[in-house]
Amino acid sequence: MTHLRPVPVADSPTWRLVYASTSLIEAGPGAFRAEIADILASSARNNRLLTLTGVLVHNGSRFMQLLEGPRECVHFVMDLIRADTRHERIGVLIDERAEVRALPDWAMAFLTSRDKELSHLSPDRLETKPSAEILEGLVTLSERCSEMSVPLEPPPGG
Amino acid sequence: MGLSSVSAYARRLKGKTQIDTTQLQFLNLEELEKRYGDRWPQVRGRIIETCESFISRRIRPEDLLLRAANGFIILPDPNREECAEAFTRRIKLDLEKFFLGTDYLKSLRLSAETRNIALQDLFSALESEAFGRAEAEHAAARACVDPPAAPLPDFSLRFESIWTMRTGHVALQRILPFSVIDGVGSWGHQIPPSSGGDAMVMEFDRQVLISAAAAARANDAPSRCALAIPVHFRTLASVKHRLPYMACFKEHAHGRVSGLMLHVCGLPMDAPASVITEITGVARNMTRRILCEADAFSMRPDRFDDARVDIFTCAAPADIGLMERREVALRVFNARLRRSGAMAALTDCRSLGHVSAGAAAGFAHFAGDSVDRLKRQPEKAYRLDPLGPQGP
Repeated sequence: MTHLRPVPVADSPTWRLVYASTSLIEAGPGAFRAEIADILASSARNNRLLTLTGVLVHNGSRFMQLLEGPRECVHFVMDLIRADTRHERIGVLIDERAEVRALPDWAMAFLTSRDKELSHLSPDRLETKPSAEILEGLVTLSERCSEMSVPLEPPPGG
Repeated sequence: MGLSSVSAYARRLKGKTQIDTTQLQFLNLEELEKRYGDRWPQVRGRIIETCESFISRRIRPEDLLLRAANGFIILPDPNREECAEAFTRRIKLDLEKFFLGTDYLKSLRLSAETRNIALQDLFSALESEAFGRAEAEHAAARACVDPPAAPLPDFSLRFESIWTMRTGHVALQRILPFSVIDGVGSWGHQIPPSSGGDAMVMEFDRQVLISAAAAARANDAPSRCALAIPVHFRTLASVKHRLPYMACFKEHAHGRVSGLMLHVCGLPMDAPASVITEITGVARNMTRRILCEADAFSMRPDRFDDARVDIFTCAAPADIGLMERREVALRVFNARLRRSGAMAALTDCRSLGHVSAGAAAGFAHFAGDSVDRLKRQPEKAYRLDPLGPQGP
């Protein structure tokens, strides 16, 4: 299957999308490390070209991701994620126009049991909250999980 | 380059999360070293200084020029408008023109590439303690829904001497992981269960690398043998498996352990040349010299022309008669490798007959039970004469 990658256009509205999904990454030795490396590498490659920013949070069993950027680029990546066999039970929580981006770059954060003070922001708890709280929670995670995050370059003019 | 320049550059980088660097590397300093002999230290110093002066006149004052092992790294001013690829192309072209017009630099060959430092950050994240915790918690979470995954068996390392016939010395040892599974001894990549797939092979290679680096550090000495660490071609073939391995190498070996080489194993001899070149290129990014497992009887050397492998390791057949019958073909094979700057080692020499037949066929290096016994730890380089009266 060939995906035609959209090119960001100047007058495209800035869009915000948040989804939550169950991680289907296997538990065998090396599997998690390899799949996360794949996600990081493709994010490094694509997000710059698509001028996307946001954060991807993983807490052992669930993913939650905030994507912000031109509408067609956000929806293009969401379509890729829907077809990605690493995710199941995908639920879109926020899909709306944004005046400004909540996050200026892209990061990935791993929330573990050691981050007790952030446990109320784990994907399985956050996804039951209203949109504003979800967004606030993801921004907090991206800022406070600096040890675990992998910042990428902000998009040009983002 | 003074520390003040570096710190000034670091201040300009503040807030940036990645930067494209230009990396310039001289490719054939070893050839020049042979040519200049005793005069080499002076000539090398002159080459580096001349090039440094040449490059520094072609970059902006805000760029940072650093000397590297065999070349230079240029960290561009974060606000530079010229794109990194164009900058790299320009510097390379200028330098090559300069080399052509300068007598003692005419034969110098140069590689130039743009490397993104943010990717290094990705690598670091994959080797972080936090990532290790996340991995363990992921496994615990999946344990509720998945059948238990096959674990990676425990293994220990053995060090096999590779004897160089010309010098009569052992200066290189290849590492062989060994494990006892269900009462049967298993070697190398037979250890990871096949049900684990490529991820398990990668994890095995990571664990071998970590153990090998630790053993090398524990036995570090200026005269220690170089160590060839096995890595399966499947670990290097795809980005998702190669990235964690490279992260592991960066964390445990790069700049911390000297004299390491990667030994690419399992590469299909009929793989396309482009795949071979890519895989060996990835290995070469980590260690300056690489070894590659090969089958002397079925390998097509032309497919390896751009692979820049230093030593091919070929397992000797159990039947010495086969080597004797095909001696001419093996001589042609070895001559072809030598023409492309590589050498071949004959491994698994079970008897001195293998060594003799291999020597007649043009092999340069030998390993196996008949050469020397396996060691439990890295050795210092030593003299050996397996064909002499005190052989193993």
